Amino acid sequence: MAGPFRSGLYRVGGVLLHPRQTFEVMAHEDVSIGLPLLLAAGISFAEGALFVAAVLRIIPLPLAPVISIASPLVGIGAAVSNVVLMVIAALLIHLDARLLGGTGDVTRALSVVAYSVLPSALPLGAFSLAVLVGGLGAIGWLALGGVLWLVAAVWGVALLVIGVSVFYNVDMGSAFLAALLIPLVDLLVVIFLGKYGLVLLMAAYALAYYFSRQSRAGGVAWAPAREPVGADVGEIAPEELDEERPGEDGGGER
Amino acid sequence: MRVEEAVGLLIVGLVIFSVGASLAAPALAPKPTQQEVEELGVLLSQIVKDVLGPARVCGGASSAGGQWRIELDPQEARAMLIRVGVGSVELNPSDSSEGAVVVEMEGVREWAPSENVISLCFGEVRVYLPPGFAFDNLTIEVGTGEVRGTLPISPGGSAEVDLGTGDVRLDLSPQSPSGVATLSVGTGSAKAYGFDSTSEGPREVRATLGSGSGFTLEVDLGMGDAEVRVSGP
Repeated sequence: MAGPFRSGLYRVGGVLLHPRQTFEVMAHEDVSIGLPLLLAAGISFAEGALFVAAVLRIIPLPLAPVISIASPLVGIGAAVSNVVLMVIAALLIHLDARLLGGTGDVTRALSVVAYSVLPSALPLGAFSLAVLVGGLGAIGWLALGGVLWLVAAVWGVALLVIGVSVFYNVDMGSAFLAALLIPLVDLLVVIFLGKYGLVLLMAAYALAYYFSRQSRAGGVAWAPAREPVGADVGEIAPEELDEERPGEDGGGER
Repeated sequence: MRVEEAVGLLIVGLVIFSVGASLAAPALAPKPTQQEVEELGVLLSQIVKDVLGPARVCGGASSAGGQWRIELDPQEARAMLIRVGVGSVELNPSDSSEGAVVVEMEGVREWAPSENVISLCFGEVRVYLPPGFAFDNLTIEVGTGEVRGTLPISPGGSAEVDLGTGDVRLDLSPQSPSGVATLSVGTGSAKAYGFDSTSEGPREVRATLGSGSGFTLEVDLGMGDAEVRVSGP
């Protein structure tokens, strides 16, 4: 029982301290989803609930009943919506990475997305202190939490790109495109064009899929045209094999 | 224990501690009395009703942005409903000899079946009232914003101003010197000037002119300042 838990802790710490190595180990062993996903949901819950509680604690009114309702509600909402968003992001990243020539299944994308949320645990301490302190003092802790959240966001993006690069075996540029740039463009298209944007995206992905298939099919058709390595072995005359090769007896020129 | 495990344990511990802190947060806040709970409930429901109520109609198929100017027959305009989600309502006396009540609007308008129902999601409503005109029945509902200007009211007329958050500044111009104005404010101040007598209750000011049996004005404000001044007749 302690083994898998310690292994999970090792991976959580390892991803934060030296992500590339840890993702490479995971890629060779197995990709874990359970613990990072649970932690990501817990972080989302705590961030939402603590932020609302901290803001309400600043107001000098007896708002305990409001906090007791609003804080867990916002926390649950944040956790559920973030898990849904993580799944959507994982699907998009998987699709993008595969279209860009990567190899790997969607669980890898989900695992990377969940791990990339872990740095967001950083501001939790500040948010907790804001709730504990209350009043005007909470504003300072909230501000510190905000700054740490920004740092965590940058750190999370870096983890996402490194993870996609390792798990899908693509270069960092393609990983950046697959994990960040294309999903961001997708999001903007949907925001600005609404349902038309969604249709446009689906058409774009279908086209990209079609062309990538064509390209692969073309590759397969083209490949037999080349001489496979070693294809001419059977055509070597026996006497050629008997010929002395340079350096075989150690007497070749150096 | 390796460094990675220690960091992992730190993250797990931080998450567990934070979830615990968020659940303990209500216990840290000051406990209200029963009366405060009731007042808070009334205030919150008032704010939700006033702020979200008028704004809820926005963005429908019947709404459009722009500027409008309509002229209403004074007889029709004696009963009016003006509803604004976010914005302001201004009542101005007019020296126009045509005798029509002119309504100028700017913003996003929600079309209403009747001309004396003015409904704006966002924007400003300016009403110009001809000399001698007085309202019999006026209702102004504003979610967030301001209500200001001169309000002429007939001897038995009634006016109701319902505002979520913002300010109300009205110069009351009654046609008979007898009536009552009630100013209810959740959070903020309520002031009445020029009345014969005023009485103050919890978050309410009741001002009486003459015997108090004529017109009625009710101002219901969730958060902000309300000021009513008798300027006529």
